[in-house]
Amino acid sequence: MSIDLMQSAGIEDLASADDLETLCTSFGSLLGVGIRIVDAEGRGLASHRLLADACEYLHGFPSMTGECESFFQRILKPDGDADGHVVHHCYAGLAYATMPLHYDGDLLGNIVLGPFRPSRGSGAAGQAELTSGVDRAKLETLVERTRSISAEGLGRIFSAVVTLLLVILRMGHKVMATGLAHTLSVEESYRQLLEKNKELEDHQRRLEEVDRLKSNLLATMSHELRTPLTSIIGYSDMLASGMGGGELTEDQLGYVSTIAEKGEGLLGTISTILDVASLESGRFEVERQRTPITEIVESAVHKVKEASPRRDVKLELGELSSAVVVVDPEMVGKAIYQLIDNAMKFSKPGGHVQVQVRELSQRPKGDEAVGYVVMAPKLNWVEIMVCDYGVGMPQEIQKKIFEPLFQGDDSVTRRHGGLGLGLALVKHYVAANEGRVRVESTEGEGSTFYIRFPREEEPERPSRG
Amino acid sequence: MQVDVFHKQITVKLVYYGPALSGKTTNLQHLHTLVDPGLRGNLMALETRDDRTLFFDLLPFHFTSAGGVRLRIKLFTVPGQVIHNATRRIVLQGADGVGFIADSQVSQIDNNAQSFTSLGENLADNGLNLATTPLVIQFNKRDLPAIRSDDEIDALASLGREPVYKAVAIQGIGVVGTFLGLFSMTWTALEKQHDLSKRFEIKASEITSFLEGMIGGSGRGEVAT
Ligand SMILES: Nc1nc2c(ncn2[C@@H]2O[C@H](COP(=O)(O)OP(=O)(O)OP(=O)(O)O)[C@@H](O)[C@H]2O)c(=O)[nH]1
Ligand SMILES: [Mg+2]
Repeated sequence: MSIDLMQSAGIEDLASADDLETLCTSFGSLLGVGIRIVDAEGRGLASHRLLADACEYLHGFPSMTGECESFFQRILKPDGDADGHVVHHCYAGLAYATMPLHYDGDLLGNIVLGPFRPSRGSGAAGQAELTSGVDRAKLETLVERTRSISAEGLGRIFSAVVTLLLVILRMGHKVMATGLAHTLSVEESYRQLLEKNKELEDHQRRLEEVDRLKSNLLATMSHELRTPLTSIIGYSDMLASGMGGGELTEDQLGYVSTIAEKGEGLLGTISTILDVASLESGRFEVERQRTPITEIVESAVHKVKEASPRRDVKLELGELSSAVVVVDPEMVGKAIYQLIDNAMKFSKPGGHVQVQVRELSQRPKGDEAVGYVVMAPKLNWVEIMVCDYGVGMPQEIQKKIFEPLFQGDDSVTRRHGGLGLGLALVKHYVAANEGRVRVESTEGEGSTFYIRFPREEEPERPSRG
Repeated sequence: MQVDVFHKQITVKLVYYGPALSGKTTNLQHLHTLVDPGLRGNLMALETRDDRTLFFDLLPFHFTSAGGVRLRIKLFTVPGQVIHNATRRIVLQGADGVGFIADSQVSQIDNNAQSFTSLGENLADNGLNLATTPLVIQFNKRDLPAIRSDDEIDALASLGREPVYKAVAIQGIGVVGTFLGLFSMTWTALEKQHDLSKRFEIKASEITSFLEGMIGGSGRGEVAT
């Protein structure tokens, strides 16, 4: 059976048999009347029995016992439609009263009180057929001996019994619900833990495998590529500086310088590849902290200017914002640096590159409208734009430009060479800080790169509602 | 929703969700005080000594339609404290409608958002979809200083999808409106989904007037526009 918090419970689930028995006994002996509690089907749960003398007399006649039984069967099962208590008269001239017990809208059972002697005016006595041999006069004297209860008295008794019984049920219900909720919560936590555990184990195994492969690869790459390259650069530098002995011709000097320059470029590319690889293997740490975005942008701009002071491209810092973001400033700084550096590279001589920071407050799209009033502060962004008026790029390249091993066709690769890896790195850096990056570009007119991060709400904007 | 065709009985489950201390239990307590003691179901609150909900609170309502159909509404709250996520998930099982009780204080923006995100996840884990579950949002504690402004909430609410109520639950303001709003939205959805009015002799209007009669009309709530 599946149990859940929505289930309804019966009396027997909510109260112990002992408690019900105690309730019956204490009320029964206090009032000098029999009392029993039955469930919704009329099955007995607890009782305090008091047999009236009249009953005992009648039980001496075997056929009467059956009558008595069937009378009980009729009155035990609760009548959910009854409004208050109902008095049932038995053939002996005595009576029982029943009161249906409702709890939280459920009919849970019946309280049966009796036998007692009905006070006059509480309805006609059910003078059923009596077996021959019963002495009517004697029976009536016996009936007179039984305690009489008025309709008013019944009301008071039932009210007390029901109140107390409901208190017991309510307490029982609370205990049951607490226990159930506890059990379910523990089960659920356990299930979650198992799941998480399994996920973690799988993940761990995969990571270990990847890590082993990657470390090997990275170490090898690093060594196999960098070492010879360093030699190439070193020796060409030596040649260029005349350390090879003998003067180089102008042409020779040019060739050797090209070797050194391209070697440097290749070394840069290799370092980027290694960075991307280590980012992909998740082996980097993000140290996020609240930082004004402008600080990061300004420092990146400064670095670009410092790195190549003689470039014939103007770098303009446009609109800025006071927005605060929670990011790793170094990482995001590198990403912005990379974008600006690219933009400068692809600008025409004498051209200019613009950098801007704007706050975006977007209208919800699709399911973002769900809970928007709660989520909106988390959906507000600050956007950094890096805009150049250089060569631009066609649509199909824009789509692939952030892929790590992006390769366009030959001519494209030639024109945009070196761009793919740097941008893959930008994408990683931005994503690791919960940001997004995209590009808009028109061939021959230029490109604009956008990076956005969730904007932190400034805490000092409260107002009274 | 649980339907018992044989006994002509429908049980609707509503859940108040939200971050810790946003006032979910207070909403239930206030609804409870509004109900005439004779008609009152039990407010069952399972809480720790310092009044934090430990498992859930439950306030049941029951109503019998003119056609003899018994409707039970069970209004639950979840425990808002972060550690009780497993319990929240269990309480959300089979929810027909959710009232998100947010804390208006500016300092609670993150907690509200986190709780809302977890609501989506926990519904999904129960096979329910946040975007299609009947949902109302209440911004509670409008009486405090340093809260998000009415203007801001109104502006955002007009862009969002669900009705947004403003409340001061400790003073009972907005409590009834939120509850009735959630119920009628939930009922409308269930009716559409299960053809309730065709299968059962029960009308939305008679339930609403029963509830309004019991806890008062929605006039006291303030609805964000
Ligand atoms: N000022 C103010 N306080 C409120 C309001 N509503 C609730 N509170 C108080 O906020 C505190 C937390 O209320 P609860 O209703 O217990 O919060 P809860 O959401 O049930 O919290 P958990 O059970 O921990 O999830 C209590 O001290 C309330 O009295 C309100 O509208 N204004
Ligand atoms: Mg609570």
